[in-house]
Amino acid sequence: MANIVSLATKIAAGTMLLLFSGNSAAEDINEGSRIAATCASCHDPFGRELGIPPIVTLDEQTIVKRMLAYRTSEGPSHVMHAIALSLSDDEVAAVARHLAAKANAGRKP
Amino acid sequence: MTDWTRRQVGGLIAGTLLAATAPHVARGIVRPKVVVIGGGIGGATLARYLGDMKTMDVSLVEPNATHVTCFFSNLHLAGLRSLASLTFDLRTLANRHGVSVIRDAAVALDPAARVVELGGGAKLPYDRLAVAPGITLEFGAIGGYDEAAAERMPHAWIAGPQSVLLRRQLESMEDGGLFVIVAPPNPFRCPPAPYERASLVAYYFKQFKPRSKILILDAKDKFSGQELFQDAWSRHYPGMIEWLPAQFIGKIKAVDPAAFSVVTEGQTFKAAVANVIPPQKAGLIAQKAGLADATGWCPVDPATFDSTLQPGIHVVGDAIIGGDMPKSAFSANSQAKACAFAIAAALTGSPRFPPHLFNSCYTFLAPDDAFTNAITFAAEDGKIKTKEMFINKVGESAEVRRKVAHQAIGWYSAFTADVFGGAS
Repeated sequence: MANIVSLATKIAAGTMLLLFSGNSAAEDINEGSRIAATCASCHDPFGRELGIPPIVTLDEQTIVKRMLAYRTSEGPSHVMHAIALSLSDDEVAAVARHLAAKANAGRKP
Repeated sequence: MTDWTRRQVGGLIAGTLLAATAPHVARGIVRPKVVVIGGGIGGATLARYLGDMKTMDVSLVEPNATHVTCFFSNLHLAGLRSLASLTFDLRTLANRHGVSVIRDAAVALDPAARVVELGGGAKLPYDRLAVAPGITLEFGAIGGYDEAAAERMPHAWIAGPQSVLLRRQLESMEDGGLFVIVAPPNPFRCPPAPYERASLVAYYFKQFKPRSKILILDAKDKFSGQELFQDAWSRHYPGMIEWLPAQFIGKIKAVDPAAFSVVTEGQTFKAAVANVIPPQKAGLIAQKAGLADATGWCPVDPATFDSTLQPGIHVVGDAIIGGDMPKSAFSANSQAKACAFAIAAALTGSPRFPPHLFNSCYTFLAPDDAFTNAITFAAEDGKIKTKEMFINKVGESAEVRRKVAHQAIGWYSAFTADVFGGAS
């Protein structure tokens, strides 16, 4: 019985957290969204090519592949070289997953 | 128990709780209140990112309806960009990102009662407060240089009417005139900017007033990007720009606005147009609220941007002691994001992360010749330390530099959309 009460309390607390974080429209904050915030300082949110390549339509594997390539060389972009060096493999995977998921969500009607 | 059953039980309990709770109480707990003071780059970014999380009531307190970016305002001085193209309406943060934009000035903070007092008399309660006050110019640090003098000898270091004034003076200056720039001591907003200004005004002179000269009187003996600038000056504007460091001219003592002259320890320089950039410190509200230390700037925890002098109040942007991070718009934007995640973690229980701090500044040497740096940082031992740094190099091809100048234009568009809210 004590266990059930404790479980119910936990569930209630969990639900309250959900409720208190607004509603289902609240942004999921995770490793990927944290790093993607850095991407948004330079890459156009509308995906326009304005001198800096757009990233909003890239798929997950392409992002990972390009980030790992940027890490190995200062050219063609020392800005992306610095960024790539600052991220672990796990962080690259997380940001790629996040950006690709956002791109997919954007494609839905 | 399956997840499905958990959700069922949870839903039932939540329903019961909701029914038993008065709506206003429920609402009070549901949405923590965050107040952000200052609608510049740091404050706008912070409000936008907090607003997008949709879990907090976010208010942005700013007396001005619009913000004019300091970055790219040197292009305005050169006649290459209108001020309108550098101006952003803060209402976008309200319309697209759920931020309450309050057009008023914060005049006092009460950290004990957690209330911000506004110039109009209203009192704004908060659960967390963030202050992004930018810089205050130290009028009086150079003898005779006060606000009235700045109407004759503009600083143009806070973009807006001062930028327009300096542009008009440069336009009406006769060919053959001397444009004097007084460059400030460290630390100051945007380290390469006085030298970018010299470069772009030289570009304007070269086309329209080719006999004119530019003299930089510097409070320092070296400056950010020095090699790249001096190389560009000899390539694009030979003989036009002269830089006099502190070791040659001594202290910059005074100005005479009536005579358009600048007095240093050794000499008096008479200008046709004078741009006096005075020493700086953290914005006024930071000074009044005890957020700044004896240096005039605000010490913060580099992971959360929580003030070390007034815990519970966050500070981001030019006002902070940023360790290795320069006082740049990009730094302010990066710090604001780290701060937004820290505030969300404290108020809504979202995950805590080490901050991902980055800076990349585009600097123009000519309209088709620009360089950019890229610096990554980490919070270590209470300080922000450089991890990696890369920058363009002297001797690169014109094609490489043209590409950077092109990227700079794209960066400006994306960056301002990120800060002021172009897409949700």
